Amino acid sequence: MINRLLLLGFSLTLAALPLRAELPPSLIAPAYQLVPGQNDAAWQPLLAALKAKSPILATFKERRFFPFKKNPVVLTGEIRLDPALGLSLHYQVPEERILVVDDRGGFMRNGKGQRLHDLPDDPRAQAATRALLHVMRFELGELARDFSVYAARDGADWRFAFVPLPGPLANVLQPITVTGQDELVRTLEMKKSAAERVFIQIGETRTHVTFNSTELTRFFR
Amino acid sequence: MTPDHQTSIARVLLLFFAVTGLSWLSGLNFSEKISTNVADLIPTDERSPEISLLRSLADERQARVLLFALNAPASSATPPDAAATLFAATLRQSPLFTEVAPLRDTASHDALGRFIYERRLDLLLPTWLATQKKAYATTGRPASDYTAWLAQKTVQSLDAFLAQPEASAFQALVKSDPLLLVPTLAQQSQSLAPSTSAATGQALVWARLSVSPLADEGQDPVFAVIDQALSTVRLAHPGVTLEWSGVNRFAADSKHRIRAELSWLNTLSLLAVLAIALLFVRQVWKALHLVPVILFAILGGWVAVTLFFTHVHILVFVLGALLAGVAIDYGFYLYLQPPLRPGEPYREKLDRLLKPLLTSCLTTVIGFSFLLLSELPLIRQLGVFVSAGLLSALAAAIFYFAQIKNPFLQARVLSLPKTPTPASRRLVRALGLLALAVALTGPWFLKWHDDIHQLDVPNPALVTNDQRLRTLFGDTEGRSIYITRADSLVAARDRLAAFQTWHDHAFPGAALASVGLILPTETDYLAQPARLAALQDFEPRLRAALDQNGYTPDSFAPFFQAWRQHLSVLSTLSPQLSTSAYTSLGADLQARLTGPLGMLFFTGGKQVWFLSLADHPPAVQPPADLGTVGTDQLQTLNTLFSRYRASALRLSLCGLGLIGLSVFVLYGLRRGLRIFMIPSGACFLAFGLLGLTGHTLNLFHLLGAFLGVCLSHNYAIFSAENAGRGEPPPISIRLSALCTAASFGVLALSHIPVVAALGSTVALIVLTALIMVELEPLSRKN
Repeated sequence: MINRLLLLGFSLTLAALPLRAELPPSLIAPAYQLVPGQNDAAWQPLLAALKAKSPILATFKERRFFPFKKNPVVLTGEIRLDPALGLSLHYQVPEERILVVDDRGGFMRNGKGQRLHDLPDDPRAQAATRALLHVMRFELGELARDFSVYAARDGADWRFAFVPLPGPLANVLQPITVTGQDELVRTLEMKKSAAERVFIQIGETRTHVTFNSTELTRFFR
Repeated sequence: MTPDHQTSIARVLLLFFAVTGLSWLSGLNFSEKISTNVADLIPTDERSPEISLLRSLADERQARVLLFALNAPASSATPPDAAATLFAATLRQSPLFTEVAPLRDTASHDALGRFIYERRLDLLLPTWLATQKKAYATTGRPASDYTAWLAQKTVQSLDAFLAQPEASAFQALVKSDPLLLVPTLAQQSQSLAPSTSAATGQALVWARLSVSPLADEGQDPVFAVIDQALSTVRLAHPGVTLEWSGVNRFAADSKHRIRAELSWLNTLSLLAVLAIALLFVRQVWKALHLVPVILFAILGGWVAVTLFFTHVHILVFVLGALLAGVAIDYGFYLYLQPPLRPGEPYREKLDRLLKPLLTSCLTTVIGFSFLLLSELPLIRQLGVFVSAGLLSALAAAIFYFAQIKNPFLQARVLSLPKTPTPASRRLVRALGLLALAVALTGPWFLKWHDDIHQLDVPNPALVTNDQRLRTLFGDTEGRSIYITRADSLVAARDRLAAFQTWHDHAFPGAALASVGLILPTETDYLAQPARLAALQDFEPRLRAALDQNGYTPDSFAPFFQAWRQHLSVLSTLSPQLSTSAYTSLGADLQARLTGPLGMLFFTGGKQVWFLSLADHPPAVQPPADLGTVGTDQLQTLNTLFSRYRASALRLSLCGLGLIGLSVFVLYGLRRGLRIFMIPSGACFLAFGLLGLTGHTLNLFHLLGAFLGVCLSHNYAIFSAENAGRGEPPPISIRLSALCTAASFGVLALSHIPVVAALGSTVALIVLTALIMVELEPLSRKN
């Protein structure tokens, strides 16, 4: 049989070249570390609220900072999160693309809804994809397997930092910081350094939305 | 010659033939001589290039791949990766396996990625330069603007790339590769990347055998190694289960099933013939005298076919079982003919029966000999088997009955009206008109379709298992796989380039990926120094363009350093750049393609192969001069078999024409016409019935028809002999036809579709011919 997986592995290899992450300062300190089952009791109500979110639809603005570019590249679009179906990022500007991430992996569609390609099938990339989904779902138990979790809050405002544990995942995923207010996520940041990071700002958010069949077909698997 | 003398000579001849034949057969290595490989049904010198290519591919690598999926115990939710690693390590210890690779082991992919990145300017820059030059040529601008244009276009491409969501995965590469050589290649490959996400609870292992899966050593010994490896794994990981698939499983299963078919078909056939004999023969034990005739016929067929052919397909022996039905004709005819007078010597009896015997045998042999001209080895082998078997049967019948005391077997006579009456004439004529209508109209409704799958015994369980394994390994529908092959690396890469051009026109917008595209064509590789010489000021221009577009040019220092170094190396090596340097680059790439990656670009049988994947369902095939074919070639094989059917039809018609001609020469126009009408009428009537009942026919229906016509031709000759003497048709015809119909009717029960097709057609034609022979005298006027 001709194994089509080969090309996948080959492409993944090329995609897996980013360098090892560096720990950002601030929140990442022992005083803020959250260990499930040990010191997370005070966080459980918020985590439960975040985890039990109904389907949401929000706008987002993504700024990509590259070390070789003076200004960030800005992408905007909509984000859809369904507890069962996964995460869907609908990039609208500058180019229309849809990135779907769910329990079975991830794939990209173009603006016409045509499936362009699956995300790399490499176990490292799959782990990274799964991690992103767990972050969005605030599945702390799952996250603790691959990340050190840090958290702080000030009234209704909160902030989490997820730092990949040393190992294969740390090669492909950078520390992730998520901030929010009450039950809503406001920003996500994946940061390697000040000059090399992705900052996503969540705009208007609608909770308890119902995706119609057209949306389900277009934006999820 | 005295009767005793005659007996002695006959026995010596029979003994000589038996000893010689059995000695020859006992000296054969049957596992080498008899093939169960479907590919052996296709001529080795098949003129269709795609078929010879596929034959080679099947022999070379593709058929040797085995796919394994290890399932975690029900209590575990995670794939048994450790078990897969142990399983792979155990298989590697066997010399029967060349390569074994757990799919989660990314070492080979990582090594390839590093190699491509480090050699990106050697590998990818020549093609990039050629593409840019071609694009610039379409602008119509002067050559002096080329460098500035290229610098600006490079930055525009970079802008567009960074605006893509997936660009962040490559950002670490961009500083050393602003030309986007590696990211572009990766994206082209990613667009075709399948998903093994179906394998949620499994750990997958890919392996390649060092032996042919079609040979015995590639089957049972391999199965034993796999069982042993699984046992080893279960010691450390209890509860792990294994699913696997490979060509050797299909081949072994097919072999066992065909052998089983041979066994039960022959047994049932023998029982059917015995039942007929019990019905028609008074002293059944005397019918045992017919057994040696059949055995000699089969011995003659085996000896001849193994003598003439290096490899004989096992289907010949399955189909060859039909020889018993034909061979028994001569025995019946000799044995059932009563003596003209009490004490008539055997020699006298033989003299009067020899003409019809020789006529029927030799004309049938001539007909079957035409099959030797067929392109299809199976048909040629069948032609030799049946021809030699019939000659042996006739000789054996003549000599065998010469050495027994009373060579006459009395048969029960079924009471059919002996003289025609007006009512019987009306009935027979009405039936004749009906048959004529069916024979003339039915064939127009015939549908023909040849399918190579019909040559095998289907095993739905294995097919389902194989499909499941392929799905786990990411093999999905909706994509096409192409194979490009040539005698050298340079030629293969040129063909791949030509195929890529064709593909881009035939399937606009559909991505095409191939490891071969990593390598430049030799033309672009050798043109590189000259093309780079025209870009001496590319670095300052690119720096300026980057700065103008919001980039920090110094960030790209790794690229500019690599660029200068590449120019320097090229200026040193430029005079020495040659085909050998190019071949060496290809060899370096190929050396990194280990495990499953090795299936994408390999050298075998003095040929270089590239595999390409295209993001569209199989459709039109590339032109033959591109040296590239799609792997959805079973359809092509079906087309090929249709071509063989047309060829077999021509040969059959020629054979039948010759048989008819010889009958006209020997029996004159009037009797010859009567003789010829029975087999041809029976054939048309059978095809008419099949057409009207909506059957779809194939090559083997045609072969069955040819055989059926030859058999009914015998009956026509024997009955014509009796008719000439004013006697009813000999009882031997009835017995022979019913035996043949019974044994071929048994073949119709076969699970192998082509055997069933052949059996049902022969049985139908023979029965039709018998009815015509029996009823024809009743239509005559007194």
